Amino acid sequence: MNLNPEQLEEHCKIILKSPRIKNKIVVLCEGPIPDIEGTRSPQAYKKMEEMPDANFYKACVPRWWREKLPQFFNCGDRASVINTYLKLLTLHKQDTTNSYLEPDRLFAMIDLDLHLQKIDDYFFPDTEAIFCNLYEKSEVKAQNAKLHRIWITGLIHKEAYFLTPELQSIFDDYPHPPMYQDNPVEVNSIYMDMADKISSDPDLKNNLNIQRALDRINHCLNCADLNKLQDLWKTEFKNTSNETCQHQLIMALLTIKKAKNYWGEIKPPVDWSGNERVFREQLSLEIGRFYSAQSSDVKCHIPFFFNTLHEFV
Amino acid sequence: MHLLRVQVPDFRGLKDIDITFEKDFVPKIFPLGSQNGGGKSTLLQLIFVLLHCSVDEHKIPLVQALLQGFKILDGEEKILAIIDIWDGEKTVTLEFYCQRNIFLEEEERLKDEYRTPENIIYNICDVENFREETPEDGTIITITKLNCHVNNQKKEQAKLFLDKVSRKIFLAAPSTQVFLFLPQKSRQLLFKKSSKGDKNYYSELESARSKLRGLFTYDFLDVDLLIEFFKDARDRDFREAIKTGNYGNRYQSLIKELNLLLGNKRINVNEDLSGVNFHLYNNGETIELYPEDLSHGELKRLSIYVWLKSRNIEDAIVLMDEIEIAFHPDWQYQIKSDLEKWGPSNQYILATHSYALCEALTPAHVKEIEPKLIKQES
Repeated sequence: MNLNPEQLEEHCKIILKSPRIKNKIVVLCEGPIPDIEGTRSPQAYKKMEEMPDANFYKACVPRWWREKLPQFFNCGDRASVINTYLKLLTLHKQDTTNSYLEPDRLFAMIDLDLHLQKIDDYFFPDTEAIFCNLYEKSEVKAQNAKLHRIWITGLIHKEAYFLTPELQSIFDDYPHPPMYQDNPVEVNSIYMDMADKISSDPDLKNNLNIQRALDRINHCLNCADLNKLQDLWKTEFKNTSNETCQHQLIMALLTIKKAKNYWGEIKPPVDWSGNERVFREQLSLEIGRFYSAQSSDVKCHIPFFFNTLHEFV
Repeated sequence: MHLLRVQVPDFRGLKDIDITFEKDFVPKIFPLGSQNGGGKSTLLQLIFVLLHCSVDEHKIPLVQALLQGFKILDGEEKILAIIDIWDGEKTVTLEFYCQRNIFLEEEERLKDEYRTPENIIYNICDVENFREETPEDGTIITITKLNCHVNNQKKEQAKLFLDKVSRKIFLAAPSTQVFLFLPQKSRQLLFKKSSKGDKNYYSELESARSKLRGLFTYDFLDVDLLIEFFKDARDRDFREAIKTGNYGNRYQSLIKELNLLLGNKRINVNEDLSGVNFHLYNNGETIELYPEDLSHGELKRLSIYVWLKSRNIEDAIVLMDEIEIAFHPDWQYQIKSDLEKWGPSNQYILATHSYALCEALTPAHVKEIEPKLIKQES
């Protein structure tokens, strides 16, 4: 969902005039902008066909953060999130009397992708530059974190954070075991399936993206040829018994291979009464709960992000 | 225990209600929305009274008060509510219905059209019972009964199930709520000029509260319940000392849990168990806190925690009306995680106007009593 200039301006004005952002941190996220008719009520929330993507991030807010919670806004696709960020600052500057925004407390969280997105009028020229400054070897560079207002995920798309290795226990303990290809979810088997598709992935095969992808993971896989990457990753993954190396390989995979479709393959058990989408929404909130209980660590991107954010309360 | 579905065809303002609460949703927390006056509180009270009071003769007057004004024609049989409950193994359908029969005192029944054989009907109570003298027929007796039909089970089994459910259903509501299970005369006093009216209403509520172990009202702070909780911890510690020679650590754990809830404030019980005290620890300084120093929200949060824990509310159906009152939207959002933490095995149905509360759940979790179409008279 890309906002045209009129929609963008209207969307920004709604945010600026929203009393709920007063004295609050504001986080702009990707995802369709919910169409709420009238007041924000349980009935209006019920009417939404899908849970807003921002609700996942809200569920990730650390448990110890009980007051002055950040306010999240869905803003459409990645370009629209960036445009909203920049437009909000411009509109606020033009007329501060009609704005509850505190520019120092405005943040955006966008998804890493293989495609590069240019950004005008920002400290970093494009999304890859943000990524390279913010992460190194799949870990957040703590000393740089405070510089960033537009954050980018360290893995491709937020759905990658639904399939990280530490979530295996969540899948195992969930009251209604999530299924992947008719079996209870085993994240390692998903990673193998993802690796099997590296060579045929149209996004990865795009000439503009190949080198970028290889550069992202060269700290753990030294490979100059995309066609060899698939076999190399699988061989290394099968042969290593070192947990740290294995974890690095998984994070590398989730940095270049999109997890969205594989997350979409997660299904409820046959006796579950609702539909698949609702099942995944509920599971994603449980995953959010998991992240909300993690301590801040450069290896855990989302808890680290919120810990950094809290310094702006 | 899980409330799966509730159907109410026509009771007070509730019309054609049919709401499902999926048993496999995670978490088992369901916000229930409607417009003001949409019937959320009525629905919660109806479910609570039918499930909590139907098998206890001391609570029957509360059922009768609730049903006052429930219109039913002579000889008619009218469904009041159908409630499906998952008991952990199977779905049990409870069909509550009223039946109005007319008898001649001296003769056989004029109308006695039971739809189901009598041995599978559990008669809860007479809602109405009056005699009328007529010159032609003599004395006519009209009886309106409230019955329950439980999955074709015989009445003894039905009673056993209702008894089991009655211990697993709870209602929490603001004390300012008008409770329909209080006598209509008491409710009417709320609109009387005299200040006595108000007092009488609240003394009726207090009396009902003493009968209804499943009812909790969000008052300033239920100090009695809190002291009871401390006493229980003390007694358990003592029992452990008798058994093992060493005092248990229930009291210590309780203090720790409550303090964790209160952030930088500390709570303890007075030595003579006459009340509780609060202190604030700030930079090594201890300051005694007075009631006005504690926010309504933090006391309410503490009260709900104490209620759930002290009453051992587990594997239960917990109905909560207007839980969000006194909470900032940030705290409203956290109601879900608090309830999940404090009583994870319970199902919660939360009548609410809070959007922030709903955001912690999926849109599919939210249930609605839809507004009725009102025909404009020309």
